[in-house]
Amino acid sequence: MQKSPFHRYHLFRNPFGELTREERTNLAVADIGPWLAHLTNHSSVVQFIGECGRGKSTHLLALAKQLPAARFIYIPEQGPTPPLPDFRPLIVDEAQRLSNRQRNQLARSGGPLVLGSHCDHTHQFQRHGLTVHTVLVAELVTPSAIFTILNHRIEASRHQTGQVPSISMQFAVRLFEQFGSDMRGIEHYLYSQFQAYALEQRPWPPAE
Amino acid sequence: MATCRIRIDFEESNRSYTGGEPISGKVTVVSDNDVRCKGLVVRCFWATHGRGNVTQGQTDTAILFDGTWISGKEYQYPFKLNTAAWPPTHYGNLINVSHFVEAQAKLPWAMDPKKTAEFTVVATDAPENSAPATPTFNSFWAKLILAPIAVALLLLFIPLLLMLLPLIAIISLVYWLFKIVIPGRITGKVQFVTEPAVVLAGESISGFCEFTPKSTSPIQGITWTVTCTEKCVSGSGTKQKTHTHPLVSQVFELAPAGTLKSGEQQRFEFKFPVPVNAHPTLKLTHNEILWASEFRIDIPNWPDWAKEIPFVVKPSKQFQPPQEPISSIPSTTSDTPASDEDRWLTQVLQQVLQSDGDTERLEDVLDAIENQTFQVTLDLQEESDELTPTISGQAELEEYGTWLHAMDVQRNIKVALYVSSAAEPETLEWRKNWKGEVAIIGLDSLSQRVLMKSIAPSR
Repeated sequence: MQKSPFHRYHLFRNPFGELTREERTNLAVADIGPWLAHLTNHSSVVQFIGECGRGKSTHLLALAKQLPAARFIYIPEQGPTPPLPDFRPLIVDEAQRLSNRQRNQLARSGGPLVLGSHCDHTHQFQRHGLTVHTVLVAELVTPSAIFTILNHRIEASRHQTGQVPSISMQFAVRLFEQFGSDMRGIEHYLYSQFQAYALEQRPWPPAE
Repeated sequence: MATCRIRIDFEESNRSYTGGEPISGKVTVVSDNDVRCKGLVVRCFWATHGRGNVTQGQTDTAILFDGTWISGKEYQYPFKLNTAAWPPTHYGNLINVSHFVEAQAKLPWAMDPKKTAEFTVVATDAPENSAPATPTFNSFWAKLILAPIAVALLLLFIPLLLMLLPLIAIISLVYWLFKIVIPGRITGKVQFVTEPAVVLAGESISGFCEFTPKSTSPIQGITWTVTCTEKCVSGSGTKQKTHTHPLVSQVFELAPAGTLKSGEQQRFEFKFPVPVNAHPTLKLTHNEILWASEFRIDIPNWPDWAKEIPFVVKPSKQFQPPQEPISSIPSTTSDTPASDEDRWLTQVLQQVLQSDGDTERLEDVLDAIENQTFQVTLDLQEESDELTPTISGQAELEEYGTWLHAMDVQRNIKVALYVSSAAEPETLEWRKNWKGEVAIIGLDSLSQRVLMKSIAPSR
């Protein structure tokens, strides 16, 4: 019988592979308390700014989970932009892909708004009388956050009771030194390393 | 808050299921409090996991219970669900496919507890195109609606096409020049044929290539390469990335470096026995396993003549789900009766391959043949730099030896041959029918290669 290479670690999969959106939402490790408080105000905009793979979408998904009444829209790179509803609270991922006119339309309808973007839109929204709170997501990625996020992902891949591998704080520090805030880079690196170890049936993580 | 513990037990654990075969077992539930369950739902599904975006499909579902559980009492519910006929279980490098049974209790005002158990599915057939069914628009009404839309789109894009036409023409011309015209000035017209286009695992793909060079020219060599590649896509939009990983890359050198003489007809025939447990072609959304073969004439300081033809590998119809690890050794194809020594070697190799994933069993097998050597005939291939196998057992290897890819063609098994640094240099070169004395020292699970150590070449 073809045996799963992951069962020896009490896991059913490589914990660092791609996840479904539902899993990403459930697994989002983000301290959103401070931003949640801003979103009770109808003139508030919270924007999460950062490069790809730094955790913008993760924060938006975590907020969406805590705000079941909110609507979430993703702006695709190609194809038509979905209609921008007047409904609030509204969460907009990849807001940099909206045209200036569309962002003005968003601002005119007021808050509370949550944006995920590569660019800073503070001035544009302030012009419409909104208060903008900016979160630079790269600054939220610390060795301690890496430690928590990765161990959370491992636990979510658990197959049965028993000891599963874990990331030590020293390992998290080393990953931070190597990759900085690039969480996607860390995941890709760990995916390849874990997969190779699993297929070779070797203990993981490697000794420090 | 009520908490429930759920356990899934299969009726026959530790066995593989043929795709589509029903799987049965029981779900056991124990609750810490009296709790009203709005439905104990059990479902059978498959999912990809790995580097690519997740693709999944559900095959069967059932509601086993609806009612109240009393605190501390153990409840058991038998189930029988149909498994998916396709895709089969696969553990690769970028792509993994797993089949699961999941039981979830729907509880009011509480997190719905769930438990998942994995089982193995072996396919004995594949869908016609090895891809999930896609909606087709064959009906008259669908055509009636789609036709005007297609015409309108065409009219809309005609100005754009006219603008891009010169650019498309230049790119096509450059491609045509470099891929066909320039190499063709040396090779002449090349006929490259492989068959069948769809091959069953355990059978062979063969072909030929024929051409008459137009001019005399040196070549670096002529090769035929069979590849099996995992290809997956992660992310979407600007974040979309394609990843590939070769599972098989076997290069057959059809002609060494030399000279092609003008007007002298060249013909090469080749054959590749697809292992009985080869990964079948898989075409799932974002996750694919693709087979292809490429014929290449390597011309120095000139564009190579190269052509790749994809083919589909389907699982063998005769391949039954093994209750033991898969043996990749088909029966010998030789017409001559096998000697006792040959039969013993086949048996040993089978034992080694069947020990995949079972370290204790592998060590027992290796212990049993510790002081034995075997006469083997191997096709030696290139130096193995992609992966240095890990040795289990007592084999002692010097630090500076070399690992070679090799193939026991008669038994159709892959070998990693360790050659000491003191060996004759020619041992390290590509060669067919290398005969020698070897010791069997382990198994490389990752690439399913039997590890051998060369004791002495007998050539």
